[in-house]
Amino acid sequence: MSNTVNPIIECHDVWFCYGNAIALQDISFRISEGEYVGLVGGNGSGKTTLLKIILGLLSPSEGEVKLFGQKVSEFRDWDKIGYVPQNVFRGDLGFPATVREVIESGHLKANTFWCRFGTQGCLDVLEVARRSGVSHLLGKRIGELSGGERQRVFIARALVSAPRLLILDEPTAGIDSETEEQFYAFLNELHMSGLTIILVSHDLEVVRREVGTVLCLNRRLVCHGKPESLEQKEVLEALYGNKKNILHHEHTDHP
Amino acid sequence: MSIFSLFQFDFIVRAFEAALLLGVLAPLVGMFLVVRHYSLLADALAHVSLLGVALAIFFKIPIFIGALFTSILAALSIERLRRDGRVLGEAVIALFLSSSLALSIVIINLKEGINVNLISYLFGSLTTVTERDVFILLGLVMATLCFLLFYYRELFLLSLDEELATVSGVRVRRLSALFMILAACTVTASLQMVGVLLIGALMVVPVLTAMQFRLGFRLTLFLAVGFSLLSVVSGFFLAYYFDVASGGAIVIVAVLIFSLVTIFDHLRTAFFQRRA
Repeated sequence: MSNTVNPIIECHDVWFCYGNAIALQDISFRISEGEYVGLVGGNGSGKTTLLKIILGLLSPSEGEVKLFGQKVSEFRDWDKIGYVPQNVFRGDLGFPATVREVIESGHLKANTFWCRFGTQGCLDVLEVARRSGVSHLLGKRIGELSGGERQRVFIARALVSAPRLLILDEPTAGIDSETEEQFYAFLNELHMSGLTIILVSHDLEVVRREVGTVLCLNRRLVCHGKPESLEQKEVLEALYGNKKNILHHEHTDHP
Repeated sequence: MSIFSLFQFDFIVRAFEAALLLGVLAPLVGMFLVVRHYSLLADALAHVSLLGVALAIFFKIPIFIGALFTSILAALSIERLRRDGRVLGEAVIALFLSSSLALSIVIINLKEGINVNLISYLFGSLTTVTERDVFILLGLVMATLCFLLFYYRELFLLSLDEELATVSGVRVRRLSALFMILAACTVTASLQMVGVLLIGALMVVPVLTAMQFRLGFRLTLFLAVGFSLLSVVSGFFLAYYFDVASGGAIVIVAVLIFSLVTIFDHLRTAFFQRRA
């Protein structure tokens, strides 16, 4: 579905097994620069496993993943990728770090000796904090923030190295609906500025509304296409099996 | 006798120099142990070092080399076991702590006279510090400062979230191994001065005190060094005047400062809550 210009992620025939259990089966797709992709699937569908393979945290049992044209195992330009993990900052709430320090920790780009002491090529912390709506929190400790505020801080951290790809794993879990709305407006703004985004979510309505492309996963790739695919009964059944009772919205008729 | 007249003795000057260096070194390493939930690692490595001392005496090799080698080996093994997930984090430390103590006891039983030497390592003594010990500590402080200067951002991120550190390009395994070697060297170099039973406290308590102020990472680190130096200097003079073990005096002062800061913080919080 996606075009072949500037592929940022290329997955070729990826398989992954946890022991004898197959977690991912023959996954192939490409994501091009500027796309806003939603990765959806039920619990245990392999979403997080696929993300971990893309990010080099797990090695595929078979197949190959390329980031910006390079094999993940040989990829070194990690500053091109901003990542916000699921349940971000699971650590101790007493961890002694301010919001400014957390955002600054995204300035990890230089591989050469002297460059590592500077912030060349990175965005200004104050500017990123302002764009992310956390400039008023810079002096606060990370453990003192609410879930929504913390999420924004870690997005600011991911953005400070001026990445070309932003990956978010279930970013709005545990966040109230108003904050969630503001959060997706912010993501949309980032996408409009040219950033490629991969959003992992359980919320089909949000994915259908926000993204330009969906990757539906249930251990294998069920569908890769327009978000409208999520309205098709066969796609939903392939995603969730017969476990899910599909209810249609009263006014929009969306599942 | 005035405080300054103490310094007419060479061994006191050496002891004071060693105490100051230790006061800087212990919290610098201890800070990363505390935030990575590794507070008991120093204790485990100290017990392993004791085993190294016993083995060194048993096989008649230099004590420092024996202690350093065993503690580095243990530190790397602890990290490997924890990373593989075969044994849960804290349990790995307990495993090494008790097994090394058990082995030390067996070696003491096997060779008569060894226990006298070992007991001096349990409690430590600043007054037995040699010039070579001071130079080793100085080298270690310099190496630690260079390591922190070079790897500060990576270590901070590693402490905050290991997965995030990996995805940011930090070579997590290598950095963790380097840090564990540094922790092992710190424990071994401090062993003779503070003792097996108390080195962990010196590395951890000033950090806990600094954390009560709820500041950022850098400020907490500086404050921890400040509290550590205060404990070390006060403990040093108290040990001399009351003729008690220096390690014990230093740790008592550190714990006292922690208690005062914590009580003050509770009272301050209660006061502001009542006013609100």
